[in-house]
Amino acid sequence: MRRLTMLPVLDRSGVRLMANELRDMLDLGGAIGIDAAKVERIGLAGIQLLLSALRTGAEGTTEIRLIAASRAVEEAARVCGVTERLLGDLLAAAEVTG
Amino acid sequence: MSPDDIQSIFFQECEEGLASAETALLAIKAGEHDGETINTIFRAVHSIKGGAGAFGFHPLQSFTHLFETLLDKVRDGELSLDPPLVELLMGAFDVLADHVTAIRGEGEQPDDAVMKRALRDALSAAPASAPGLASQELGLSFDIDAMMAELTVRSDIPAQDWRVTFMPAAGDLAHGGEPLLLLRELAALGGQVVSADPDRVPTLDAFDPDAAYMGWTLRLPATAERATIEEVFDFVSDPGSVTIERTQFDDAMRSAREVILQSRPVAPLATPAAEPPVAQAPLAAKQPKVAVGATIRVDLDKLDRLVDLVGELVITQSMLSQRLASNGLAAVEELADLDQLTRELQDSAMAIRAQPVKSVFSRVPRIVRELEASTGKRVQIEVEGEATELDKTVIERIGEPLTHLVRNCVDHGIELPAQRLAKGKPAEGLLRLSAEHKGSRIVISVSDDGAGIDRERVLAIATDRGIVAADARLSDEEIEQLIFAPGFSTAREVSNISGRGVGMDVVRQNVQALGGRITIQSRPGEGSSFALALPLTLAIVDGMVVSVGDQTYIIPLTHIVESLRPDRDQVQSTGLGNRVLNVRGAFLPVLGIGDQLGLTGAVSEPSEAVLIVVETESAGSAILMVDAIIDQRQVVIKSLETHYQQVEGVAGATILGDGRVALILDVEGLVDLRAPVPLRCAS
Repeated sequence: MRRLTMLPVLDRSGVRLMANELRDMLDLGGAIGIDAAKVERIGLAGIQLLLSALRTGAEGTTEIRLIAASRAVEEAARVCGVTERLLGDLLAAAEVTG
Repeated sequence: MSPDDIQSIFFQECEEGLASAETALLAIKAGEHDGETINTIFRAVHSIKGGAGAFGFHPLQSFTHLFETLLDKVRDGELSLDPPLVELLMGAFDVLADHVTAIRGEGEQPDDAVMKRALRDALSAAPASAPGLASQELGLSFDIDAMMAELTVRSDIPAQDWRVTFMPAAGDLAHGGEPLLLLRELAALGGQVVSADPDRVPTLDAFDPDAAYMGWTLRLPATAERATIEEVFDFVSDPGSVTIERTQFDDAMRSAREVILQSRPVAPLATPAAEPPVAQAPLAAKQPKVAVGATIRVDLDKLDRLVDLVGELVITQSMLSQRLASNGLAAVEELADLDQLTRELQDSAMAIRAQPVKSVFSRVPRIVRELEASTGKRVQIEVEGEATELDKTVIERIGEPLTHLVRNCVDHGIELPAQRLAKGKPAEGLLRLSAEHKGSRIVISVSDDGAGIDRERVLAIATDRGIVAADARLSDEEIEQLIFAPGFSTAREVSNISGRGVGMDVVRQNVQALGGRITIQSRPGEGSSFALALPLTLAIVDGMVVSVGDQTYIIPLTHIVESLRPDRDQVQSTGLGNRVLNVRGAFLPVLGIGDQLGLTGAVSEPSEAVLIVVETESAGSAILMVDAIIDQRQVVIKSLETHYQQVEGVAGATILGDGRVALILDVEGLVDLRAPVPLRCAS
């Protein structure tokens, strides 16, 4: 699985960079793991990017998963009302592993 | 749960209530006048009345009120269940069913004035008494209180909350607006996101970092000031992207609750002192509490997804078995357990979608009552096996064919009372519905004890309409099959059945479309019987795995009669190059699957191939020639149309244990394509 580590600041310019990175990785093929553990600041654009990536994985042939998320990402997802959609798998995995 | 959800549940409960009420009414008609039977009807009508009031279906509420009042008098023994009253109850039930159809938007509002007058007349015959409606707490299946309670618990906030919707404008992000900041401010005011719509965010190929795709609906407590909420959105570029309003939702639900509560008695009357003596109220003797069913309602899409996933599991398990077997591990004990568990899981998943055929049979009494009224015939209905279950989709799609068969039996089969008496039969004809499992299929029969099919008349009409040649020699069975020919109808059918747009050919098409078959048995003077053999599910099929050239195909077992290997001189060629084989006196066409589907490398010499005798509804019997039979197994059907496109001669596809895709042959289509003209005409 290829890993893409998200920038600490996911503002619009950061999101633009990360979106391009993701598209490039998609072209290369193979599963993609998104590491958002180091994200310190994230806005709606960042949340939407993560949602877009997961949707791309769900609807396409390439597996795309969020493999880690920082507290900032968790808080932003909660405020947006998309915790389950964005972090559901991560939370489930955390429950399983205790 | 939204008001629409609750209304949807109310509609379902109406249907279930109508079904149980109708069953009880039929029992009463058959002589069962016990209290619980009346109570069943009363409960259903009362339940519908409650919901009708809550949702503002006033005509239905008004009608059920009268109907319920009459039932209450019957229940209390103030009115006796004589035949005229039973007929009145049956008629009132029909009007009630029409009302329910109307509120669902599936029919016209019925004109119930005549029936209401009849109900009032019947009520006036009862001795005057204190109003007794809903005088006891009933075990209602439609528990609107529970639903309201759920809503109350869920909202758990004072009246007049705020509902705020916020859909950022497309350019908000690009202009420095950050919706998350606004959402955080609303959260600080006690706001909670009720819904967001992440589905609007596109996949990466269409993703624009500057676009705001999402929007939200939030609920804020009534304690928040409107001005404070408005301040949050001061810097939003498009004020139209925000709405702030009091919650109409809760208001509507509170109104509904009040209506329900007002329709309930102020105090329960079923105290020992108020309880009437048993002798005066024979029908009210038993009042058992209806058991609360341990059931939940599940979205059908979720069930379909489950069945689909189980199908995938079956395929994967099969592939695993094959892989292990090829590595010499076929005897692994755990593999046998996995196989067993997978099969059980598949059966259980299928069983979730199964419904009793009763839901279809329950429509028949009304159809028969209408036909009795319009034809002057008298019909007794006998039902057997109504608890037999089959797939919900099959249930939904057999309603129309079954209705037509019933009409056909009453309209054309059962004679008028005078004619029956003259023949030494009882004046009342018998219509029998039955359902039973036979192997992996369910057989639904509709039979009557009427005149049977008039073969001479059928043949004359078919000849007259050019459906068969004038000099055609047909067996009795072939003549009976003519009623399924497109364009066939008798003169009486034109007068009585026309306008409904359904003929027996459509009945057969509908049954075939479900992967089923329809057969007739008829004896002159004794009656006819139509048997519908239907698959239990549309998701799996029992098939014979065959090879043709380098391809593997599945032939559904339902079509297969036998397989054989002929000697070289047994298969004969006709002048046109077609080949036929004499199978016990009948010459059947031999159709090479390879030729039919344009394959190369298939065995072309019948004596070196395997011949499979198949039966079809549309083109009689035929023989399919394949290279070899590989196996016989259940396969999971994958729609070809969904994943690719429709292919002539192919009904679908499946994935075999070795991972290869095999096409499931459409035997009807294959044979019909190549059937000789006389054979096609005759059927």
